[in-house]
Amino acid sequence: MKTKDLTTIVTVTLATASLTVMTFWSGELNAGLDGEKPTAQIAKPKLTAHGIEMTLATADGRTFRAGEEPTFDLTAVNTTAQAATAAVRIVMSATSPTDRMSRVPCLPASLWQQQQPLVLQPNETKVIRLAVPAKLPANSMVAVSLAEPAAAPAGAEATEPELRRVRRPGGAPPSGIVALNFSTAAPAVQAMQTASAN
Amino acid sequence: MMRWQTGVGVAFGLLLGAVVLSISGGGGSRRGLPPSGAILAECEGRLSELVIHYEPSAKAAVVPVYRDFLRALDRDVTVHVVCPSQAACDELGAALGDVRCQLIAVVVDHPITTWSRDRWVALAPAPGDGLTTLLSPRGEAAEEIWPARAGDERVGNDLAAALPSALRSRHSELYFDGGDFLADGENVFVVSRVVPRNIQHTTDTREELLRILASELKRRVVLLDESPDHHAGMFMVAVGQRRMLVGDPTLGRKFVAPATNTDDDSGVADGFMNLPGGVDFTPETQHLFDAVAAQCEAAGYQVTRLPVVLARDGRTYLTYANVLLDQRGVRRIVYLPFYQGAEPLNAAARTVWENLGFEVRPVDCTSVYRHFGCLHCLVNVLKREP
Repeated sequence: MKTKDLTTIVTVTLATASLTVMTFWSGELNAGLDGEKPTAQIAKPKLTAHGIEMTLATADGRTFRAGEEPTFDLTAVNTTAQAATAAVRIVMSATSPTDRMSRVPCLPASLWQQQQPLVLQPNETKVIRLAVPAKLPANSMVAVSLAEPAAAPAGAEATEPELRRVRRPGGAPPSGIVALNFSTAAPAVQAMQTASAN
Repeated sequence: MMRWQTGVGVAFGLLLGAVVLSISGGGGSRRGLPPSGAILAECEGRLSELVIHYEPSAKAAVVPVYRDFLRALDRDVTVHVVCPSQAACDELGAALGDVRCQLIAVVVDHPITTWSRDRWVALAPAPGDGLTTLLSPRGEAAEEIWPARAGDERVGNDLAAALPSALRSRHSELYFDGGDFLADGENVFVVSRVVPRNIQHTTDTREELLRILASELKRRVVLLDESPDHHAGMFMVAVGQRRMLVGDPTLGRKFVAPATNTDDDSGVADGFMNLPGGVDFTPETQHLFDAVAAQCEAAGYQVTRLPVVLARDGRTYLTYANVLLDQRGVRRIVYLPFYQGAEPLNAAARTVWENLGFEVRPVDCTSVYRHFGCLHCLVNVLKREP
């Protein structure tokens, strides 16, 4: 091997290594610095129970607006080599700002809930369509939670007395997740609020 | 056509890059961050620099509180007042009248709410570094439908821009409100609602959430398993030397007039202080307060209970935990909310604080409690002196 060959190899090696490190590192170097917001986020929240992974999405990727009755797809994946059974409690709740002076939004109001049993064969995937018989309120933040039935659903153990009673003394802390979050505020409403706040 | 030397170089380069990333942790998100110390303890040191917000639409609610509080502060305290305009700052100055502390305006060009506490937490300077870090959450709750909240998200950066020689601003990987944390010199207590805001959104698991909280706040993290669905300062306050004051609705019930007290098993009383939906004395709510007290005791704290009365809406509190603490030498001062119309309740709470050796400086919070917050929620602390 000639010196020229060796020089070429070393040069290309260093350039490639530098590019590799910069490509996979530069995005993180600035995370959180100088007040910039981090961007990485879990794209699809997942609840895992008894070897079954559960995710939720709006049916056909639709965006639902105020006044509509939403439809969701619950996807359950048995990640084990054995048959698995589980149940999941799905709760849809909504929060709206009370007045502009409030420190926090009101406690979320429960709009709908359903307990869904799941029976899956080894490594089976099921998609269950859930039609919600409740209209979405306007100008609200809507959250859809998944939880094992024994625990209170995350973020939804709120105003309803029957939900509050789920948190009985000695009960386990909530183990649910907020699977979906979306807003029914129209852009025009947001713009109007911005203007009035100025 | 690529020469064989180039191909070998690319292969070696990819291998070398992978090795570097592997050894360095892949440029993990904590790398490259400027140094910072622990979250400020709320019960240690002399109040030195504070931050409040003033939004003119909230004038009626906050001016009476600010007037009492700022007039009671000592001369050596600086208060940075974040306002959406210079006119707003001037309006507040005129409404306050004479105060001994120093007021400095920080004018921003966007909407804000009037609640300073939740926007950021102050991390003390790291050794050898003179800058306090304002750690803001990843995002604000309901910012999509609440423009002022979207503006609040920028306040940490605004303050750092206004005070570059003293502050830096950074956004956390996590979602939280500043009021979700309560820190003393050893531990930071974190309310349970932080969990659903982050698990499977910013972190995979509860364990990872705890690890990030400990890394960012640099205190031992006590994640409350169960707690009222509100900010920590609404129902608990650490006063140092491993003592925690925790609200107790049962103690508050004694001071709700018999005519408005509950006469059935519902635990709901009507009429008292016009609390929305009536007063909540339900066992479920009592349990949440008791669970906080029990967990504090399990963490090695002596717990003293404070009377509290809260509304059925779960948001409106007559609380005496929502205080500012100041330590001046051996003197311990508490800026303590009171509520017109609840005098016996006020007196009972004041006695608890006085029995613990605190000098009480009362602050009238009658105008603000209906907006789901109180004194501690309005005031954030930038700096304390030893």
